[in-house]
Amino acid sequence: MKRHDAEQQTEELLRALIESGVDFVVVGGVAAIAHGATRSTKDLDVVIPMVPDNLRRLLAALMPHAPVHLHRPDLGIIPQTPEELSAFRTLLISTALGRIDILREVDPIGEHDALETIELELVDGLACRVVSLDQLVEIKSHVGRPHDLSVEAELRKIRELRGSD
Amino acid sequence: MAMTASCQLPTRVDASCREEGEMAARSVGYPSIVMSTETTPSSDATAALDVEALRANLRLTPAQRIAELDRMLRFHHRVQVRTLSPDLRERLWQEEVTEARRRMEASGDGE
Repeated sequence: MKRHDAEQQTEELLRALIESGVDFVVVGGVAAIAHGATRSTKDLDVVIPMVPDNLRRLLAALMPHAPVHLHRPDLGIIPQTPEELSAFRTLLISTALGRIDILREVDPIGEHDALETIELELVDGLACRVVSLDQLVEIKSHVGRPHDLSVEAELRKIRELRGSD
Repeated sequence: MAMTASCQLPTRVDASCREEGEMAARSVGYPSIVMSTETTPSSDATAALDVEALRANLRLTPAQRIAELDRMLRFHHRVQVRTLSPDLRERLWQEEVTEARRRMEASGDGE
């Protein structure tokens, strides 16, 4: 199967990460949707501590789903060890469950520990940490692409609507 | 369901690709918005907000919204498989890989 023939299965990707005990925070479009935005997204973005133990859990979560580097599918199933992967800042991974982008940090906030998070149940019965609405607004504003700015506008409106509840 | 169908093809695909996709979508009766490549200009982002859609979306739980995202992406994927030629899908995929490579290099992880 070619990688682009895989349907994106966000719920299953999240379930795999949670059940394998990966320490992660959901950012990006899925976080925006978790907060109430209506704009779609094509992949799952998460920030993780890029340390070998956590990367070992990440690989355990993804390995049943044949993960490859999105930009180097010719390498086959991710060949690096957790120790080697810990040197990366970004891992863009294509799996049989769809795309997942693993980030060491997110501008302009910083690494995992700098993120303010809330816990949300994104998969039935399973909670995970999602970047706060305030920081997500800051991130989307910083990225500045048209799609991100339209998401930012939605997030600001959501904050306003929630404030008036 | 309030979540808008704004699944987008890569924005750098040329006009002929867009037309091919949109015509193919119409030819099998799918809503053309699913195949849309339009993005909202930043200056109009606030003005283009659909507040009623947002209110409706906020009545769902986060898990319901994620489930709806997956349903939409599944539909989008199936439309692409049914309506786009293998060549065009390959070109779209290459656009995605190119963008991924650009991001890798920008983050300092380029080869």
